[in-house]
Amino acid sequence: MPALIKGERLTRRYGKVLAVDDVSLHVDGGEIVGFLGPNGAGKTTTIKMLVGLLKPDKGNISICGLDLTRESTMAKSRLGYVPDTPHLYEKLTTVEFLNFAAQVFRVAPDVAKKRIDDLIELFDLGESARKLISSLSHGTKQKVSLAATVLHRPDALLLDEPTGGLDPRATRKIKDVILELARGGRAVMLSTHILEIAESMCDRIYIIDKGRIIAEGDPEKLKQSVKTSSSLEELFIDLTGGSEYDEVLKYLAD
Amino acid sequence: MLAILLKYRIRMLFSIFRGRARIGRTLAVILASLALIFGIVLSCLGIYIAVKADPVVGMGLLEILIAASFHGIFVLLLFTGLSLAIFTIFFGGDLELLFSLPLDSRTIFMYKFIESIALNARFAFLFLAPVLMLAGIVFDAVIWYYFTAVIITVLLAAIPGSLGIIFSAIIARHISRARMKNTMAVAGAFLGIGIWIAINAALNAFDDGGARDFPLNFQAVGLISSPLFAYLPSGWAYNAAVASVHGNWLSSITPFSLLAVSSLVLSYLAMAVTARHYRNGIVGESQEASLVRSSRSSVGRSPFLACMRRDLILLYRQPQVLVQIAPTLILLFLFPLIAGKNLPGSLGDMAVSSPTALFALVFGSQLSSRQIPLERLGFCWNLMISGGIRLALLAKITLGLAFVLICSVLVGSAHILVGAAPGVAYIIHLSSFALIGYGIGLPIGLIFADFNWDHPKRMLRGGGGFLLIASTMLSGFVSYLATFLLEKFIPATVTLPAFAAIVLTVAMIITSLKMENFEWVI
Repeated sequence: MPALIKGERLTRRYGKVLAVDDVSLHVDGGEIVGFLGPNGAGKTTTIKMLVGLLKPDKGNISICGLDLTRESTMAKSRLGYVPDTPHLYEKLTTVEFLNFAAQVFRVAPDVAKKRIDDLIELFDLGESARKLISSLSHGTKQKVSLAATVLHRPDALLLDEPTGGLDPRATRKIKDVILELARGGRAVMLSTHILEIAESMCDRIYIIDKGRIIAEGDPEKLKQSVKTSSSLEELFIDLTGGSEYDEVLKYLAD
Repeated sequence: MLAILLKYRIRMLFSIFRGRARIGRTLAVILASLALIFGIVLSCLGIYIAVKADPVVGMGLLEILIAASFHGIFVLLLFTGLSLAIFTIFFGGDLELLFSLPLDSRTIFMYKFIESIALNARFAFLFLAPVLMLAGIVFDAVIWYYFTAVIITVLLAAIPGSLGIIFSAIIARHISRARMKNTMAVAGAFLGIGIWIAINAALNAFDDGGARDFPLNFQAVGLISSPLFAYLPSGWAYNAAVASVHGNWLSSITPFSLLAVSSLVLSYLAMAVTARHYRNGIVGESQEASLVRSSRSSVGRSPFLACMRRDLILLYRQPQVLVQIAPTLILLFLFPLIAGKNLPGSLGDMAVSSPTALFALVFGSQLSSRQIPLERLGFCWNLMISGGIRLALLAKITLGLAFVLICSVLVGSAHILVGAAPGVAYIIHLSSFALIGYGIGLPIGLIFADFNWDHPKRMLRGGGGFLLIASTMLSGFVSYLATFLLEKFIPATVTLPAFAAIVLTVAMIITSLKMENFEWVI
C-alpha cells in the first residue's frame, strides 16, 4: 500500500531552538508505526506539523497523496488526530460534541447518527453521553476525543500518547480500536512513552532524539542491531542517553 | 515568601514581553500606552485651558470630573470586584499548587488578597491619577495633597475589593463551582439594576432642586452633586480630595476618616473570611454530574450551522462571558435616558453623543474580542477540520454582527421612543459605532487570545485587554472627529456606515490571514 502519511525533511525552530531537524518519515496503509523519544525530543512538534497545527519551516507533508499545504482542505478531511491532552469543548455534552464533529466533517446525518450510537457503545460512553465534557474524567475525555476522531472514518490517524493517564481497561479498549483501524487499511502513527505498547502493537518504530530520527525499523530487527539490547526499553535507553540515567541513579544512591 | 509570590505574579503580568513575537507585542503595547497617555494628557490639558480661560466654570468642571471619576471607578470596581474575588481567591487555578507548597496559609491568603484587590484596582490608578494630579496643579495644592490623594485612591479601591471578597466568601460556601457562573450572572444583573435605581433616585433628588444652585446648567452636574452620592465611599473620597486640594485639612478629616475606617474594617473582615475559608481547605471542583437535560442528538447537514450552534451553546453555558459585556450594554441603554438631550459631547450633525458612541464602541469590541477565546482549548478543532478556519470565522462574524446590530437597533429604537434620541439617523450612527468597535475587537481577540482562561477578564493575554481599550477609544476618537470634519462634504449618516464597513473589511482580512497562518503551540 502507498504511504498515507508522509513527511519529508521536516524542520521546525522555536526561536533559536531547533525542535525538529530534517525529519523524514512515512506510514503506509494498514501499518501501525510507533514514534518514540524522550521528553522534549520533538515528537509532539512533528505530529503537530503532520496534522497541520504547526507549519514546518522546511519540508513537505502529504496525507493520502495530498499536499497538506496546498490541498489542506482535502487532506484534513482524510486525517484524524488525537492530541496528548484531549482538547474538547468542555461546555458541550459528549453527544453534542460528537454531533458537532460529524457535522463539520460532513458525515451524512443518518450515517452519523448510527456511527455515534455505535461509538458510544464501543467506548462505554453511555453514562457520559448527556454530561458536560468538563465533568468527565481524563480517561473518558480521551475516549470522547478518539470517538470524535474516528467518526468520519479517516484514512490516516495520528495519535499523540493516546493512552496517557488511562486505566488498564481503557488502555486495552483504545489498543483494540487502534489494531482494528489498522486492520481496516488505515495508517496509524502512534506516539507513546509506553514501550510495551510500541513493542506489541507497532509494525515499525521511529526513535527521535534532540529533533533528529536516530533509529527506524522493525522493533525486533532494531533490538538485534544493537547487541546489548534485549528489550525495546534497553534499546531506547541505549540510543537516547543511558549514561544520563546512570548518573541519576548514582546521585540518588549517594 | 509573600514578596517572592508577588514578584512572580508581576512577572506573569509582564509575560507579554517574553517569548515569540515579543517585539511586535511590545511595540503594540507601547503604541497603545502612548495613545492612551496622549488621550488622558490631552483631556487634562483641555480642562487646564478651560480653567485658565474661565476660572469659575473651569474649576466647577474640574470638581465634576473628580466626582465623576471617583463615582465611576467605584461603580466599575463594584462590578468587577465580586467576580474577580470569586475566581482569584476561592476558585483560583493556582490554589492547588500554592497549598502544595511549604507556605503558611496566612501568606497564601495575603497573596491572594493583594492579587484580587490589585487586579481589580489597577485601572482605577490609571484614570484617577491624572485627574487628581491636574486638580493639584490647577488649585496650587501643597505637596502633602499628592500623598493624601494616593492614600485616598488606595483606600477607595480597597472597599469594593473587600466587599467583593466578603460576598464571594458567602457565595462560595453555599454554591458549587459548577453553579457559580450562573449565580454570578444573576448577581451581576441585580447589581446593574441596583445601580440603575440609585441613579434614578439621584436624578429625582436633582429634580427636587438638589443642584439648582450649581453654576453649570446640565443634568449630569445635578446627578453627581446629588446628596445620595455623599453617602457612598466614592463621595467621601471626593469630599476628602476636594477639601485637601484646597488646603482645608480640617474639612477633609471627616470624609477621610469615614473612608479610612470603612476601608480598614472591610479589609479586616475580608481577610478574616478568607483566612477562615483557607483554614477549611480549598474548595475543589464540584464532583456533581453536570447533566444536561435536553441534549439533542440531531445531526444537521451544514458545517457552518454546526459552528454557529456550537458558539451559541458555549455562550449560553458560559454566562459569565455575557455578564462581562452586559454592564456596557446596560450603560449604553441607560446613559442617554439619564443624560437626556442636554448631554454634552455631540459634534455637528452627529446624532449620537460622544459618551454614547464610546459605550457602543466598547460593547462591539468586547463581544468580538471574546468570540474566539470563547472556544477555549477546543479551538484547535477548527484547525484540524477541513475548511474549519473559514467556517469558524464566518460563523462567528455572522453571529456577532447579528447580535451587535439587533442590540444597537433595539437600544436605539428605545431611545427614540422615549424621546432621548432624534430619529432614524441615531440608529444608523449608533449601529455604525458598535460595528466599528466589533471590527477593532475581532483581530485583537485572535492575536491575544488566551484559550486557557479561567475568568472572562483573562480571555486576552498580556496587554491584549489594554490594547483593546486603547484602540477602541482611539478608533472612536478618530471616527468621531473625521465624521465631524467631513460633514461639510458628506453627511454623517453616510460617513459613519462607510467607516464601519472599512474597519470591518480590514478587520476580517487581518483576522482571516492570521487564522490561516495560526499555529497551535499549546
